[in-house]
Amino acid sequence: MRLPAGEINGRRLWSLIIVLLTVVAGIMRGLYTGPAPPSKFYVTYNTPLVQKLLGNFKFAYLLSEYISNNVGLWCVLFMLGSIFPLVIFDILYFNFYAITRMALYLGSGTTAYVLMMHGIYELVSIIMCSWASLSLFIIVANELIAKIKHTEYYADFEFEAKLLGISLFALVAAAFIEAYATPLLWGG
Amino acid sequence: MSIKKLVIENLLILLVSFFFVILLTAPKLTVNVLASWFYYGGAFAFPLLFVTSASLEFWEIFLGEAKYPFAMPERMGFWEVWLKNMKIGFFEELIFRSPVWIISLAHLPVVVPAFISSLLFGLAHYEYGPAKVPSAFTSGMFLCAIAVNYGLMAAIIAHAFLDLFVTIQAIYLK
Repeated sequence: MRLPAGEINGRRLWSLIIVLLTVVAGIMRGLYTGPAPPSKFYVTYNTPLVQKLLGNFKFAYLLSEYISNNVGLWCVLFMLGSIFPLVIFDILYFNFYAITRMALYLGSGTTAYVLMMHGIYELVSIIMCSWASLSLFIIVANELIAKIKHTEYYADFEFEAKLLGISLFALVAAAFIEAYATPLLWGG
Repeated sequence: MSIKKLVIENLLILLVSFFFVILLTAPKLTVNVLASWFYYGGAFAFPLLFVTSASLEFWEIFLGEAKYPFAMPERMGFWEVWLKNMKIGFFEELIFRSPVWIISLAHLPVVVPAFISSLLFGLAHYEYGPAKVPSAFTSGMFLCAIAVNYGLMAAIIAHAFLDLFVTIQAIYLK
């Protein structure tokens, strides 16, 4: 993967380390807890209206559902996470915890060919977005400290902006794979 | 800048405004409620960005290029960018979308109020150039749909995201 040009300074390095540690903690807890079926984590769509929609416009419905979900999550991570970073840890930890449990339940074949088709883009994008948001939170904290101390602080966040842009488009691409390629693999 | 002035200028207006909306929308505010505003706002932010950019490009063919009526600063801190865009999103939505939202809460038809408020929203953007008026009208109708179906906070977040994206693009991603 070719990351956007930019210096990896202390702020960016520490943000990445904290994000990766959260991911590892989620996976470890998932491994420790054991396998669980996907229905334990999914919302089941069984109302008559949704069934009708799924029957008539399955691709369009799934696509809009997945794009909305992915971009909604991205917005929570970026816009709320850069000011209130607790949501970053919450989302990362429980996402990776749930995915690990589901992967243990489904087995390596299904996980590799069905889940990871879009998952590789989605999960890497979520990690990239969390990394950028945590780095932005450190910028925000430094800016507020500088204002109280009557000094100026302007950090360059071009690198973070590029990371966010890449992760947004990768998440939209993952939604297309999830809505179009994954149902074909499932044979539906 | 003194701490007192900083608090008044940057935080107090926003906190009072949020308190007002929280009273109207979510009597029991939790982290989940806060995250859901950003989630629904974000879910529509990308389509909104797409619609706004595409409609502006379309109208620029007929009505000339739109321009910023003010000079963009060379450098801005991220906190400043975030807070300013949240404020803009909040006040514009409060002025233009809250009447439509309140009408929808009363279970009255919203098509005519949405049309009128979006028209006023479009005309308020005349400073940017004539092409911005129909483009902002389209965005206004989209934001009305978000506010009516998912609440005013979702429209505020979607609007703030749109402005944030445009500002970051104008300053940092030339």
